[in-house]
Amino acid sequence: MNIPISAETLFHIGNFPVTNAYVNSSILTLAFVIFCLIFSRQITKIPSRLQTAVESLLEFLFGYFDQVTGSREKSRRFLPLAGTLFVFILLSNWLGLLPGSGSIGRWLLVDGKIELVPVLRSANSDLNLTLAMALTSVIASHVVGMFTLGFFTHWNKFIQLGSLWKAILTGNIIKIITAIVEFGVGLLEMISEVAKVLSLSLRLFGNIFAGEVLITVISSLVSFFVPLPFMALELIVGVVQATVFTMLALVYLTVMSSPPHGEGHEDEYGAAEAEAVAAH
Amino acid sequence: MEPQVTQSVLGTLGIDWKLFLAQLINFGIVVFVMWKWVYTPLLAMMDKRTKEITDGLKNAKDAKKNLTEAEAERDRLVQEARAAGHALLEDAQAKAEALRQSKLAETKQEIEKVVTEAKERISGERDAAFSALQKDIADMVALATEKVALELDDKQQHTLITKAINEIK
Repeated sequence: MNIPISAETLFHIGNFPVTNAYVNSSILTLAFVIFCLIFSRQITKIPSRLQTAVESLLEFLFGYFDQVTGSREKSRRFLPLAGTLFVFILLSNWLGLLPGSGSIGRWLLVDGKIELVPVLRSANSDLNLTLAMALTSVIASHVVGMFTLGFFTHWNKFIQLGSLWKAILTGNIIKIITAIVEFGVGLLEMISEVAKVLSLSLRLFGNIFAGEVLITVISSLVSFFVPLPFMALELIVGVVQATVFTMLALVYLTVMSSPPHGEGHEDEYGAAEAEAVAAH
Repeated sequence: MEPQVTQSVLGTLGIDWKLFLAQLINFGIVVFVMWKWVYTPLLAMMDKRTKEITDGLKNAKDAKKNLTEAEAERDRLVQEARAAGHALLEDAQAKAEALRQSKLAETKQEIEKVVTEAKERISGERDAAFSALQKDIADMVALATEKVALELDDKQQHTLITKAINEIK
């Protein structure tokens, strides 16, 4: 019983290490492609049961998204990323709970010892995937910001040379000092952008990885019945983490597409941040 | 020294740029297929359906309104027609009455005229008959008188004639 913090390599394709977490995420990706392809063919005005189910999921998501974004229009704009994040994270979390993941494997030589390396491992217990999603979300929020507010307005949130220059032009000492302080705050904001990526990716990774470890440990202690409550707990953790990741990504998208501080939108800003804190 | 530590931390956590890219591509594919094949067509269809239902409801409401209006219009027309018919009937009755009255008066007049003419003719005829009769009687009387007179003397004749003339007068 040994679960390394990084996903284990099963074999190599050329130079590329195929890990068990990558196998999981690829299976899920393939499933998504097949499902979406079939689904897109049978979208009709009078919905089938499947279509009704997907539509109600969308409406359900919109209900939550609207609370964060404040408008249906924005929710629709962010749906492709945020909605996919939710469904993908949720399904990959649950996929990792299916029997077989963590128990079926190859006997490989690891660090000089023969060990059972599982073929399947919950996709989100690999930091590569969570980091990829977190980076995508944060970069997407910046792209949205640039397109919504304009290139200079957006980057002036971080490198506030524009505000500084305006303050210098007024010649008012207090305004200049304030602008210098704001400039420093802007630099801090840049660090917080990096922190966003780290917190998003590490939170999801940590939770799912911890779940894996927990279940493995409990199962190795008592194989029958006792792990069940923990499995149920992991089901809930899967939903909660998918929700948290999605909502935070949505908050970042919303904040970045809102006008900067000092333009009369501080209340909205505050609300979005409060929600982010509550989601933690 | 610092980058070395960072590198080892990332390595411990399992960060490998090849795997990172591969996972990024996986996630990208999922986002793409969901976007292209699920969200876009589904939302378009849902919007279309919403619009159609809204339009349908509005049309139904309009149709109901139109129906109510048409019914009111029909009632109004029927009412009008009934009133017009009534007026027409009364008018016709009045006209017929007037016509009857005038005809009656005309007929009366005609009858009176005919009666008067008849009366005149009767009286004329009677007069004629009377005068003819008078003449006949006078002739007869003359004849009779002649016959009687032949048997009377002059004196008697004279007395009788005078008496007769007096009586006739």
